[in-house]
Amino acid sequence: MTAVAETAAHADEHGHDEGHAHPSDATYWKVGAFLAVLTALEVSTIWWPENVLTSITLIVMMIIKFATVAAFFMHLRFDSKILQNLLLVGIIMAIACYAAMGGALNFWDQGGNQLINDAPRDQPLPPAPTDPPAIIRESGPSH
Amino acid sequence: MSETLTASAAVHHEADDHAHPTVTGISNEKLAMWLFLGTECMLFGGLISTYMLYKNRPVGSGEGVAGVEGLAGSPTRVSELFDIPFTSASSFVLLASSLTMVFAVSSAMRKDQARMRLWLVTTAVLGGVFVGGQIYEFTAFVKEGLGFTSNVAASAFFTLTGFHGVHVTLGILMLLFTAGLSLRGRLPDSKAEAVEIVGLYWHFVDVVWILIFTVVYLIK
Amino acid sequence: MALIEARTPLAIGTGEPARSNPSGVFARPTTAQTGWKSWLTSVDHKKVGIMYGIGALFFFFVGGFEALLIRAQLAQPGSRLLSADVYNQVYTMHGVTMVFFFVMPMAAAFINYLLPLQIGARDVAFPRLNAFSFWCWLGAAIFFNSSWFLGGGADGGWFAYPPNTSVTYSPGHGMDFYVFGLAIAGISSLVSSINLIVTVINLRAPGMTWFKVPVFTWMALVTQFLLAFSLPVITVALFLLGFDRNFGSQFFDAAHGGDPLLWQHLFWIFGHPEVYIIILPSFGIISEIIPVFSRKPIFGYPFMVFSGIAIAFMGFGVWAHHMFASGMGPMSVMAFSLATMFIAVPTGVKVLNWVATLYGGKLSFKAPMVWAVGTVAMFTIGGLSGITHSIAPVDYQHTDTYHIVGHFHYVIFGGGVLGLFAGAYFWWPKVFGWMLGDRMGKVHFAFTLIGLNMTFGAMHILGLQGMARRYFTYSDYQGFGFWNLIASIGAFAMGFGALLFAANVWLSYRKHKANPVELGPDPWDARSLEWMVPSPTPEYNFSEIPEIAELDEFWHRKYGHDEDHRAVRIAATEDVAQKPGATGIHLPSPSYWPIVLAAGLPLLAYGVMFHKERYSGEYTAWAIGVGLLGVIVIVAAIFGWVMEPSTDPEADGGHHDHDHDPADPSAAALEAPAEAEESGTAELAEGEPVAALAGSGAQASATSNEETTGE
Repeated sequence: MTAVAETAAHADEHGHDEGHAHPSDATYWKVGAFLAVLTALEVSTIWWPENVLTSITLIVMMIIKFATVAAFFMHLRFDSKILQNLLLVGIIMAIACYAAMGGALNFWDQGGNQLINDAPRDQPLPPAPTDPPAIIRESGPSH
Repeated sequence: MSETLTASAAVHHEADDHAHPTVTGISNEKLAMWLFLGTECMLFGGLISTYMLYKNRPVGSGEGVAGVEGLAGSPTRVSELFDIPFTSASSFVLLASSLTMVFAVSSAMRKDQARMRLWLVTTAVLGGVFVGGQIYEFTAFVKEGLGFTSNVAASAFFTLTGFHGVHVTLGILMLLFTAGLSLRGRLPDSKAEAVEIVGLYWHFVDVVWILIFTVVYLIK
Repeated sequence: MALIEARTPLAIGTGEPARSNPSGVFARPTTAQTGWKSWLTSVDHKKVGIMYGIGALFFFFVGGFEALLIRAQLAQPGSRLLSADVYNQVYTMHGVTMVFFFVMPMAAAFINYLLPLQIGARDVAFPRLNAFSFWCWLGAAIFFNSSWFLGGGADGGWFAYPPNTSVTYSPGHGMDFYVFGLAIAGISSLVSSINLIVTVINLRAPGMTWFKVPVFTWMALVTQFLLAFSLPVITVALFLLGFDRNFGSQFFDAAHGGDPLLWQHLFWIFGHPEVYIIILPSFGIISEIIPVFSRKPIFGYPFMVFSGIAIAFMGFGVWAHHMFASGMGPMSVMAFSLATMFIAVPTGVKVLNWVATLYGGKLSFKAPMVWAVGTVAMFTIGGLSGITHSIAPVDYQHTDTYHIVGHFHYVIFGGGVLGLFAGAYFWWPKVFGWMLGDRMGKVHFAFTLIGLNMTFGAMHILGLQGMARRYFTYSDYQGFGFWNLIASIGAFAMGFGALLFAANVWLSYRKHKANPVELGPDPWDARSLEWMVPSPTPEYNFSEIPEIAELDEFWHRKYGHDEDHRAVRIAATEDVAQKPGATGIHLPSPSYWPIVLAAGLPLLAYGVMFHKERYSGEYTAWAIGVGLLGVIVIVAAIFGWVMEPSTDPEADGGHHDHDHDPADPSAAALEAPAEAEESGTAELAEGEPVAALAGSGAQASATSNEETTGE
């Protein structure tokens, strides 16, 4: 009973379901400062050259910010893995589905790669065939 | 085996009059909120994808060429009208609100309801400043001639940021409501987790803004 | 896990005790309320399930009537029974009604009723949200079908492709009913999916690890994940279409830079998981029925579970097989074609496992088994034709012809609906305490089977003959007349079968009333936990939450094995099953707020839809009023809901009627006279319910300190 009471009191202190470790307020300030610095860095990219490297850096910074808020502010780092997995399922499915949709809608190849999609509007379509293909010609006219 | 499982789960809740030993040890409400946030990824993913698809689409040619079914509507891409410094300030505000939210939850855990209310209201105010900034930004765009229906890029932009703004507003209402409940003594200390769950929603809304800010405003 | 609320009321600042109407608005409904009103405020998952079933059955007849109109129109070439415009509305409404307002809610009926029972729980994680899901669905169903009386039904097909569904080509309000109706129905399903996922994760009985969960519950869980992650996508699509139609945006308007294909992608990213949402519950149902009537466990349980998960996962990767002819490039087409072929594998695994379960079993062809085997057969036919469609070049011939219509009706109706009827015949005694007529059930099956093969088999032929779908009529010289006539006759045969079901319900009920037979908890000698409780199920489900040692726990309490691994009876059903009449079990209290909140949503939708004349731009006062009323109702309902504790703290105060905690001395003292009046049904020993209800080693204290449902 004492063990139960002790753990109960412990849970009581945190007034919280799991009674896991909580970052202190000081840690939260540090995380906040880190995020602010990162945001400032992101904003500074308006003066960086406009190329793929900048875009990739921005995306990396975005992912880091996302992960930091999720891990610390949303407490995922200290919680059961189930919660993390629920979020990850959503994120991964969203990225996969929408990236594939983008592929089918010519997003990844704005130049009009005709393997992925039909040519975009400002390029002509390949000419329509005028003669029936050989195999149909050979088999003779249909009834 | 099952004895110890449920016994240890039960132990955590001895102190709570809201006890519910669940199989995972995570409360139903918290699990539900995380699940909901997972589904919101699909929602915002769709809106962001729509924007990304349309941001560089052939936008209006203005008047259109006589006799040709051209692209009527505004020739301005919404990205040309961005005021990055202003939006950056908005981003900092929302980020700060996430920090204050964390302190609110922390105070709630420490059973300091007065502090908690202070942080909740601060968070709500910062959220309000953010929404105010969004509204200002939108009206500025409209004044410059780019409204919701001006062209597809604008429509997609306003839809995405509008959805986000509505989520922030609902979050503000939840924050104020929670603070109000606490003020009227209707938020017992054992229900501190409710504040955490509202916090989860708020942080998610902030995270979505992190995505939007990068993808919409910063990436060319 | 028991859902018992601790009785300490919320602390109020002034020190006064919480009253049952803390917001002072409405007095909360008490458990004393009986009759039809108690159904309006019930949060009991079983009542919610029954209501879903009744609602779904009603809309089955609505959608079925629409189907018969279609078949009457197409029975002969050149028919003018329905004009083209009316035909468009009829087939659209048929599709939407059948998918969203019959099959999905009927599956929800089974899932709501059975899932908590199968995992050994007393209710779902959020009972009020569960009730809300139902009323919200009902509101959506009524709202959507009210379009018939308010300017015409939706007319763009259930798939609603723009620009056909844009204001230019669909100027009436029908498609707006579609947008709002599906949005509201989406809210209902999304909320329900979150509720049920949390329930299965968190509220399983002690000892029920994941691989002791019945296949039906597994399939239901997978379905909920599909719902949760696919509904947001159609929500986006619906909003974009709604904005296009009502606010002048051009998301899907190619002339202004928009892309109609975006709708197709967004819709089908939802739409394909949707068809697995339709079929998986039926798969779960027959996975329960076939073992019972083969007296064998399901063959390959882990494979059944994993294949269900695989189907769901892969289901999110095949959507563009609905778009092979839409102008995607060859790479995209190939990727989706391959993925579609692969998804046949886990589905095939299931079919093989059902057949393997039958093999060597002691088969008993009662009505549920007949329906279940029919489901497997019909689904297989539909699945095989589906595989032909997965080959993209072949699909170029099939697409937009009746070959596709035949395919999906075989899988949806032959697979999904037959499975639902199998479940109806199987679980009817558990839900209502009496059986549906077995012979009539088989006659019902015969008409349905013959009808469905006539109709949808003929459609395969029509497709190969070249008949295009979604046309209101066809010409004499096209040569489609014969098979169309066969298809129409088959449809009326199915309609007759449906009437037979209604007749069976009525006649069996009359027979039961005239000559009630006590069926006992387990008339089929079944395997899973729901058969361990009395029929009909008591309100509290289990008098004590069982401890689970293995899969098919109930079966293993009845049967052991001899040396030759043959099943040997080790206990009589009466000794293993639970007895009725337990007392002292606290349940979540009824509430008004779910139905009130659900009423606000259609009001808001009507307001938004009619607030402005589309072309003249005039504002309509009454509509704005209705919309505002809707907003007020929604806000007030949310406020009232949040302020209300999930269990009424006064539920066992002074003058209540039945249940109380026997371990509570003060309550016991109060209740002593009342208890003596209660009919002497078998009561459990004093200490047992409390210990059992606590479900753990927690001390039985003076106040019941058990788990509660959060909200």
